[in-house]
Amino acid sequence: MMPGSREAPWARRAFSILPLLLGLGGAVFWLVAVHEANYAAMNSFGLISVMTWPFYVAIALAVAGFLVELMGPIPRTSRLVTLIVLLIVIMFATAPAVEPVASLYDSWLHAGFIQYVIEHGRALNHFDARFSWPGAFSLGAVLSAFVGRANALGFLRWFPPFIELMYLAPVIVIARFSGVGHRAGWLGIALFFSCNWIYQDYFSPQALNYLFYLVIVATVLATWQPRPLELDEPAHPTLWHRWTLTRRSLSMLRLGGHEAESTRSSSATLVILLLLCLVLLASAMSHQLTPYATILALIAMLFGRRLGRPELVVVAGLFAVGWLSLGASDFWLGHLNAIFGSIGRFGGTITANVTGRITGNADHRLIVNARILEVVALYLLAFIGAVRRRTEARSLELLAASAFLLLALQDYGGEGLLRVVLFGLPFVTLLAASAFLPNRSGAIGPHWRFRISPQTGTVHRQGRWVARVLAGAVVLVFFTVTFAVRGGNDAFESFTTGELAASEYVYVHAKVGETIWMATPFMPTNFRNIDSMPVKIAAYQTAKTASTVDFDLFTLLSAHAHWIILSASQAAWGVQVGGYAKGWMAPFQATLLASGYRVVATWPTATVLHLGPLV
Amino acid sequence: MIALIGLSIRALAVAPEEFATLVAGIALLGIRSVIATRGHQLTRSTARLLDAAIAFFVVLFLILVVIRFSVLA
Repeated sequence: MMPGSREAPWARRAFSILPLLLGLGGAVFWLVAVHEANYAAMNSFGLISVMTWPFYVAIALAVAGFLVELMGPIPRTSRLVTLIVLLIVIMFATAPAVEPVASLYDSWLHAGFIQYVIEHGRALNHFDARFSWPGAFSLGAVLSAFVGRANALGFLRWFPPFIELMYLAPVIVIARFSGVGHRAGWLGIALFFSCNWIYQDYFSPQALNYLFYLVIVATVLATWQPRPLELDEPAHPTLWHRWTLTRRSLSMLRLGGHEAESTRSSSATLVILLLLCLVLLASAMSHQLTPYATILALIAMLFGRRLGRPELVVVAGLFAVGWLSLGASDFWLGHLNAIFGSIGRFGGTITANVTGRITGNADHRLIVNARILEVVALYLLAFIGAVRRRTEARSLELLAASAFLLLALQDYGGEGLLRVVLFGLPFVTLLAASAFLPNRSGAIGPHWRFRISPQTGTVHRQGRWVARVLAGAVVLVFFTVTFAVRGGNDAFESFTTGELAASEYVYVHAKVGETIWMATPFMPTNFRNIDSMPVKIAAYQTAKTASTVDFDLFTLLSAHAHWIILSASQAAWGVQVGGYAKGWMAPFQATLLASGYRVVATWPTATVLHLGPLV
Repeated sequence: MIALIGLSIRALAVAPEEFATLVAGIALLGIRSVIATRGHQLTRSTARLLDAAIAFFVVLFLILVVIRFSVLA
């Protein structure tokens, strides 16, 4: 419906409020779906297995509402924000709403780190590499004290939707100043939240530092604009012509930041630089990898004529290396190979990051394969967007590509590729949106375009609508697949109240000096007394995926563990990821009981064993 | 700010040369940023001197880091 069309006023009004009505319907169906979800019925496909049909109706209505508003005559920002918030809630708040307690073992461990900082006022040396970058844990301790809590456990459960909502503001700024069109920008934002299956938004330094990263990129893009290029682009540019243009990006003029100009006054620019330095300093102290991703992004923006102050790149590098050398020496003393050992080893890193992750039973492999396929599909769309769009600067492409250089530096314990996808996501999704809604203005022309003669204007208009419908279908498919694969590990990464009660029971009854173990990873534990009562994991005493039931049993018995916690999540991890036989936990427990252990407490999903009688 | 001062004191005690070159490099980078952002025109020789000083401290800092890594690791 176009402005000025001959529809009745009531029809125009009805069409005008349609997106909000669809959104409202989506919200109602989501509430019904969350109310109906039966967590106890979860199978090896995770969260998606407990969601009923109203949930899919909620997704369809929310996506439809967003797309109707986006493709309407004049997309209104306030409505788009409202509908994106609804999409964020559906994607990221469903798990906390359905699952009884916060998921992921690491979020509980981070709460344990914070409790140590609250109690001792400092980090614990020689305990865990993450504690050598204690900025985020210190912030958690300050916030816990500020709200009058003795620990950070209250933050865990709803942290993912909270931090994703925090990401929205910088992502909007990135979309607005990235050089893509208005509609493509909003479509990119929707894709950003529809493709984020990586699950790095749990209560962690990475989640906080990703916010820092987005804020830094958004601020730079909003502060510096490329100076107009004077290109003598021929009608049909050859590859040689494009190569000549690309070589210009290596000029000293560009590296000196002279091809970008600040859109602010000099005083405002200086204040922005100072604030950026503070955020860079905070990031350098709180995460191992993000500072280097930020440096690569800053370099990409410098090459892409979007950063006018090259000093910022050097300052970011000095902060990162300075903290590693001076602040994180506890970590690298004796572990230098862990930091620099994988530099330049692309092959080994790819193996560790891709083939090393496709393990476990058929259900788990299906989820992992779906994740990989989704990433491949997204990057394929981004490639199409990159060659179709016209632009003033290729900064988005450089930002998307720069993240891959992280792989040349670090395999990050087999998670490097995940982080590459994470750090490239805001830019890749904007490029993917450009595949459907490419920008038509800018000095740098598209590599590939539809050639439409003036006589085929009707076909062109139809093509535009086809592109919009396709874009809608892509958002819907990505959203649904992401929801399925994001919660695909929840059979072992989410926990019951019984498992939490088992942990609490052990903390109450264990004495200082006694050892606490669990067979396989994934329990809500290590959230207190990490120095005096660290909970150890038998399966982690060897290389990941190399453990067996016999190995775990041998480890527990030879360690003479005073306390052993066995739970449903551990059993699920063993079957889905560890390759253990189905029902392995029962004979495992029987062997422990025959070896002198006694069941001292039990819940439907957890059992606590103690070596000898409890006195 | 208090935490930053505390960290600086600790860093100064652990590796004073490294910390001093780090601070000097960042300070010179800050001066360069202020001058460039304010639009002040430096003579070519002064600008080159400033850039050379920054490069000196940054490279010296990196050399000290490498030495510390190779000695202590």
